[in-house]
Amino acid sequence: MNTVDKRLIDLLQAEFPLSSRPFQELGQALGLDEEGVIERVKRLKHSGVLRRIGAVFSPEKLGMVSTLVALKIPDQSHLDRVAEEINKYTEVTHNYQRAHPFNLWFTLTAPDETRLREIISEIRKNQAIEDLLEFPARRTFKIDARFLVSQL
Amino acid sequence: MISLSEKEQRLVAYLQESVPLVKEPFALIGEKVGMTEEAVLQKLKEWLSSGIIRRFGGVVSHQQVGRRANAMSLWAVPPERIEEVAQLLSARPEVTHCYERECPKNWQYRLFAMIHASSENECRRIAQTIAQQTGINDYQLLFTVKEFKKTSLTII
Repeated sequence: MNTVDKRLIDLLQAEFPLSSRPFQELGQALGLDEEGVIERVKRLKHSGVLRRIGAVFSPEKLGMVSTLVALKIPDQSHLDRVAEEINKYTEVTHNYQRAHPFNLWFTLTAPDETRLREIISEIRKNQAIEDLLEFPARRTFKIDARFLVSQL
Repeated sequence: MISLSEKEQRLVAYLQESVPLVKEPFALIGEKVGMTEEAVLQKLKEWLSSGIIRRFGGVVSHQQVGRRANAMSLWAVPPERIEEVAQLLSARPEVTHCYERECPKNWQYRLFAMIHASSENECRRIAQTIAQQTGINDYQLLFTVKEFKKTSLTII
């Protein structure tokens, strides 16, 4: 990424113009024409730096329910298979193996509590899981997954 | 879950993906969901101000922009100090998420903060700094061994 790409990445994260010609506006800030901005954005998306340009929704504000779940899977050889089964649920947004006796951690967001309980009880049935803990959020202090790059 | 009209549901489905990379992306979304460009932008601004949409913009891959290591840090903080320690953690740019969570019995780590940095050592240094600043020395860093899934929320 060159300097212009980095500034573009930061601008896209800071504020995407909510106007008729957003790429033209971004171009004005960067000294590029509209097509040039679109080309760069396509390239950044293709290379995997940019995952998407879109809305980050707040599940609570939509009335959805979420939780964080930790699993203890003592036999590591079962871990990939359990993780794969969990990934099948579209309600699972993040799923990570972590260096801890509770070695698989995933987040679950469902339209209502009933569906949330249903998924957890289905997952719990897996014989490879020795223990399952739930950590629903009580207070949210920060959610800001923006990563600025032009100052790096 | 709150109720959305059919048009709103279609709009959500587009907005949770990526805007089309064309000169007039909101006009094109409008065409697909049966709304005018003006109505799409209006709805977007409305949802942003009500908080249904937390932010609108680029979502980058943290691994691709130099944050190769990430740790879930867990902090054993007495209830009366949660607020103060959470504010200190949240003020750091490397901390992307910070929550107080309901915990099972015998789990003393109520404060959870995701740390993203260039290396595992950098994550450790950040946690050490927080520990020194707060005197909270009972903490754990759960480094990511493998990312099995990372997606945006699918609402519709």
